[in-house]
Amino acid sequence: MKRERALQVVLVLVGLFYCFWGYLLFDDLWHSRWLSGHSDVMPMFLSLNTALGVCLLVAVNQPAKHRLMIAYGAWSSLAHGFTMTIMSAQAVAHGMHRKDSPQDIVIFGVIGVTLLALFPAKQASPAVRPGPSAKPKLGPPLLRAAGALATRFAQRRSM
Amino acid sequence: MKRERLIQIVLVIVGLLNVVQIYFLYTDLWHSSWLLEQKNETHPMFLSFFIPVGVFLLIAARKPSEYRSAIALAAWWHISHGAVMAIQTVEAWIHGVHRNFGDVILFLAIGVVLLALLPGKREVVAPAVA
Repeated sequence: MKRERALQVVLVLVGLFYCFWGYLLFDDLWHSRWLSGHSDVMPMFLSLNTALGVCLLVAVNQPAKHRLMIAYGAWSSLAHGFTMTIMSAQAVAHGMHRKDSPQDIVIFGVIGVTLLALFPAKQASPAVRPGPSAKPKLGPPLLRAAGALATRFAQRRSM
Repeated sequence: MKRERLIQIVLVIVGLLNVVQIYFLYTDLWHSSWLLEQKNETHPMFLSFFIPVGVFLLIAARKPSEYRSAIALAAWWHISHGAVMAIQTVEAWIHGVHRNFGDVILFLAIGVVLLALLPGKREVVAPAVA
């Protein structure tokens, strides 16, 4: 129960964080700033995270029903952080420094790991009566790995 | 049944389209071209978002009705992307700059098709009361 509440709090925080990018998107589109800055990718980039933020806020009520969406939020944050790590290393190799590095890498890495650590367990189907020896259904490998990671984390905390 | 098969096909196609972006991410990062040639650090980060979406849509293709919310997320994600590009296209035209609107149609079409084929909510079977 505590774990679910913790996940809900994290989902609200991450959802609001990504929704804030909607303001940056508005700022970029307002007076066509993206056009004068010659960066047509920036508004599209911001729109993706804004949509993700809204969806994470939708998932707050019943996180177990939106498992794949939460997994997507986690893995996209990790992919973002991983790409920025490669970019920062390349910038350093060429004697340059990325403006927001390494804070941005840490932020997105922490978001991804936290969402995976608090990943909700798969809900038992209401049509099936769960017995004491009932095993959870096997899902896709990615979700199974995330689920196993979350279970191990929960077991360690309870020890 | 036909509708489920149809959404499975759409999910596989859209998933693969998104996963293919890994090639563009690779060419962006290869020899640091984002830094030395394009001087655009947003592009690799932007591309990195497509790959998880593609993988997750391919996962959702196995049992679309179990992953309703993830499919809805992908649909709204494509629609918001298309809407932003539509605004950009209009702004570019106003300032006398040409911007192709083919990508706007593609992303909006993907979003609308995913929403149109979104599987219905599963009915919960209530346990019999003795």
